Amino acid sequence: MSVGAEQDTITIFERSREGRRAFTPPREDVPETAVEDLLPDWARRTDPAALPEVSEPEIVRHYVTISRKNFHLDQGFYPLGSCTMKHNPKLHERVAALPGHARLHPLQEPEHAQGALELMFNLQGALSEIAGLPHVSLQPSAGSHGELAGLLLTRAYHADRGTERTKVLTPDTAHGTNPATVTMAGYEVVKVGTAPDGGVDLDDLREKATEDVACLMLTNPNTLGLFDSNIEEIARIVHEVGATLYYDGANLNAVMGITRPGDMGFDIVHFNLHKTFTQPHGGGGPGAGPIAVSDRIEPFLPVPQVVRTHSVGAQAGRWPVEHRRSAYISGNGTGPVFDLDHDRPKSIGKLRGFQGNFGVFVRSYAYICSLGAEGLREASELAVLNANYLKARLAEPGIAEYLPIAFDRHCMHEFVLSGSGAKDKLGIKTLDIAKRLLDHEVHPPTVYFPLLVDEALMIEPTETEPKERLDHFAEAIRALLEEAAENPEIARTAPHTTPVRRLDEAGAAKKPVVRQPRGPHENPGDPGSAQENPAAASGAL
Amino acid sequence: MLRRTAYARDALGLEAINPGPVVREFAVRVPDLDGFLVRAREAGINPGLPLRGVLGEYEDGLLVAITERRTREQIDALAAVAAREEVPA
Repeated sequence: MSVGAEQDTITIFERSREGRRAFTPPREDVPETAVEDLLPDWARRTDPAALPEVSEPEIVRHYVTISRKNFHLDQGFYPLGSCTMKHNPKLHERVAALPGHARLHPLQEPEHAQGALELMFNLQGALSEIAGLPHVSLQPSAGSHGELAGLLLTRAYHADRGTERTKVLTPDTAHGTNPATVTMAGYEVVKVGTAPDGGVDLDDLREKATEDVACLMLTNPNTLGLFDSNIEEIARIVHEVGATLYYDGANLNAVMGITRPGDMGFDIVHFNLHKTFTQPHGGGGPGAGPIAVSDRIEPFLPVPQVVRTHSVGAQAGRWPVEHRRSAYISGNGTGPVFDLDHDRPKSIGKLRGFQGNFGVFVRSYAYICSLGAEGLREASELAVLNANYLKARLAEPGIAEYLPIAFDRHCMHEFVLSGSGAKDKLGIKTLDIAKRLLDHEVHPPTVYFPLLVDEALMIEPTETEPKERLDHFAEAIRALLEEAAENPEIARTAPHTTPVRRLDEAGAAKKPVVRQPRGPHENPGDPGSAQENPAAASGAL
Repeated sequence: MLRRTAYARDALGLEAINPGPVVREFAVRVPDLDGFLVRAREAGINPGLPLRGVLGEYEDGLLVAITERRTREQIDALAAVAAREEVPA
C-alpha cells in the first residue's frame, strides 16, 4: 500500500495528535472557579474522553476523503427510479442557514416564531394547491411516515362513522413501503393485479373492493412510470364501497401543475419533500412527508395544525396569505397572526416531536417560490421529456434486444426495462449491469423492482439532467452490453474502479460492523462479526 | 460552559428548583414569570423555556440554558431583567 493510499483509509482517530485543535473557545469572562468546586467527584470523569484532536485542515481532508468514497448526486448521474434524485439547488442551503431559520428554538412560543409559522403556513398552502386538496399537515417526517399517517387518518375516519374495516388494497406494482405500512397500521394487505397495459386491473379491483376495505393505496403514475388513465373509474369503485383513496406521492414529480391527485378523486396524498421538492436525500437523515387531505378527512389531522388565526381580507386558515413583512400582530392587537392549533378533538394526535424538520420546509418552500407555478409545471414536463428521450435511446438496436421495455407505452417520469434478454443472451444479470454502470461513473437505476418485471431496471432521469448525461448513460449501457458479448466476466465481477468492490450485501445487512478501531493496535468493536463476514473483515464496510 | 452556567445561576439570584450541580442548564422559580418574560424580550433576550405546560407543578418555573456562546455581558443583562434594573443598551 502506498503512503497516499494509507492516508486515504485512516480514521479520524488515527489522524489525531495531542494538542491539536480546530476550535478556539470564547474568551473566559466569568470568574475562574475550580471545576472541583462546581461539580462533585461523582459527576466528573476520571479519564479524558477519547476524542480525536485534529486541526481544521485535517478535518476537512478527512471528510472530503470520505465523501469521495460515496457515489453522490453532485458527482454524477443518479437515475434511481422512484427516488427522484434531482439536483438540490445550493441557494436553498443559504436560505436554510439564515440565522432566523437555523437558530430558531423548536419550543419558541408561536408569538415569537411568526416568520417560521408563516413559512409553514404558506408551504401548506402551496402543497394544497399542487395536490388539489384543501388541508395539509407538515408533521410526517418521511414518505413512509406520511403513509402511516394516511392509514391512521383512514382508520379514524371509518371509526368516526361507526364502521370497522380490516383490509387495504395495494396494486402489485406498489412501492414496498405501501404493504409494509398497511401491516404496521394493523390492516390486512390485499393485492390488486396489473392489466396488460400496465394499469390497475379493473376487474380484479371490482372483485376485491368490498365493504370491509378501508382504503386503496395507489401511485399515479405508477411504479412502471405509466399514468393510469382509468383513475376516475378506480376512484368511483373505491368510493362506492365507502373506502378512501390514498395517493403515494413518490411519483409526484411527473405531474406537478399538469394534473392534481385531488382532482383525480384521491382523499389523502403524501409528498416526499426530499424527492419532488429538492430537500437533499440523506441516509436516514432529515426528510419530510407532509400529507394533504380532503374536507372529510380534515377533522382527524395530527395536532398541532399551523393556522392563521386572524384573517386579513381572506378566509382564515386558508392559503394564499398576502405577503406582509412586519404585521404579524393582528390589526386590533389581540394576538399573533399565525398559531399552532391544538384544539382538535377528533385528531389522530401527534406524530412526532416539535413541528417537523423545519430546515426541510425552508428548502422546499424556497424551491416552490423560485420556480413558481409555471416553473413547477415545466419541471414535470422536462422530467417526462427526459424519461421518454432516454427510453427511446435505450430502445435502439444493440440495447433493446437485451433490455426490452417492460410496457411499451409513452412513459411519465420513469420507465422500467427488463434485463431478461441480457440474462438469457449474454449471461449477465441486472445486478451485474448495475454494478458495471458504477465503472462508467453512473449510479445504477433501481433494480429488481417492481417485482412483476423479470430482472427489472427502473430508470428515472429527472428534469435536471442535460441531454449529454442521458446520452452518456445510453452509451454506457451499450458499451457494457457489447463488452459482455465478448467477456461477461467483466460485468459479473464489477465494479472495478470503486473504493470497494462487490460486497456481500446480505452479510453487510445481517452482520454489520459499525465500529472501526481507533488505531492500528485496537481490535474492532465486534471482531467476531468481522471474522464471520469477510467483507467486514477486509474493511469493506 | 460549566463556569458560565454557574455564574448565571448565581447572577440571576432566583430560587433554584434543583439546588444540585448543573452543567449547562438550570431551572428556577420566577416571581411574576409573565412580566419577566415580557421584560426580557423587550431587552432582546429569550430567557428560556417556561416549564408550565411541560411540568405542570412548576407554574412559575423557567429552564435557562447557557452555552459557550453566551457572554458575561449577556448573562448580566438577563440578571438585570430579573432584578428589574435598567438593562444597559
